[in-house]
Amino acid sequence: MTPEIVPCTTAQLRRRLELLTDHRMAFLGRDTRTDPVAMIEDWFRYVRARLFTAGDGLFGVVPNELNPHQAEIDIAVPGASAAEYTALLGAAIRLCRTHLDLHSVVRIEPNRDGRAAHLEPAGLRPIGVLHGCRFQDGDYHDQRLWWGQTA
Amino acid sequence: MKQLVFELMRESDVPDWVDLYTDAEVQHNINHRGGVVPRDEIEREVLGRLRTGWCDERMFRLRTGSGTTVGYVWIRHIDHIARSCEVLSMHHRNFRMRAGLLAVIATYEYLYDTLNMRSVVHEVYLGNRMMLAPDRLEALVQAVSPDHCNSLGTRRTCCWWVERKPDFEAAQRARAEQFARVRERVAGPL
Repeated sequence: MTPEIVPCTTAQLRRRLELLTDHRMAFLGRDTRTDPVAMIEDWFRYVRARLFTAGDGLFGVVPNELNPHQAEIDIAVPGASAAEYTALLGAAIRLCRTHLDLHSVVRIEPNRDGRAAHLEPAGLRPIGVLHGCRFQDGDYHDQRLWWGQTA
Repeated sequence: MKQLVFELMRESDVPDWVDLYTDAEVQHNINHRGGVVPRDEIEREVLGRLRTGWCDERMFRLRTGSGTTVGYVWIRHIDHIARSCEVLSMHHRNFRMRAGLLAVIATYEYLYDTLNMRSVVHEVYLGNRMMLAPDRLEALVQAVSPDHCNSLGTRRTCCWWVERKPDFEAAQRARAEQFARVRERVAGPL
């Protein structure tokens, strides 16, 4: 059965961001361990993010202002299995093509990312590693990037 | 060595900033917004950044000791926790070659020492003619997105890399040692 990716209401967004906070999951570059939910909501409005429910989690799309057919995406689903992630991400990428006219997507690794292993089966390919991109907890941390075609 | 002065941009600098931003060479290196967005809208955007965007971005003017504007530096996506940011520099034509390196060094010194950043993320589109030779760019790049920027009539590949504070300090030490060697060769041992 194809999983549903549904536009997220304001109330759902708040509840799900709180859920991600409980699971210490970062999302779309925002760290729920350091950024308050209200701040993340404000940032989503600023970058005109499209947000969807995906299972018990969130799928988000931030348009690339330099290319209208590309966007940054992320998905965070607390407790999801590998198979659930692959199915949800596959459906989300199809929606990017059919409803948002996106030709390609980029995903930038957030902090503490346990989701990376599920991206490649869903069609995203690694395009590099930014070495020492962020400094936190007294040390430098790398950040990986993925790219995928929506069709 | 002449010092350049790095100072916060003022609202009175905005017209000059827009002149430089819409310069054909600068537009070629970034995007082509100057060709599709009216000047007063760009001015409003810059004023908005100066008045309310200071949490995530800061804009600076770089000038000589005598007060001549060398160029502007726009620091974006400041992550105060991860202590990283992106930087966009643009220099007036007279300062692109001669004072360009000085301006870049002054910018990084400010980012690392005064703003206390630890990493700078660089984003350059293929076809950039100003900052780096292609072989130098190839050596630096850590990630490549094939269609990131739709400008100049084509989808342009985007190259990203990170420079960390220790990388910058090592490059500065190497430059100082090279300069000392040259000085000793020319002037002889003191």
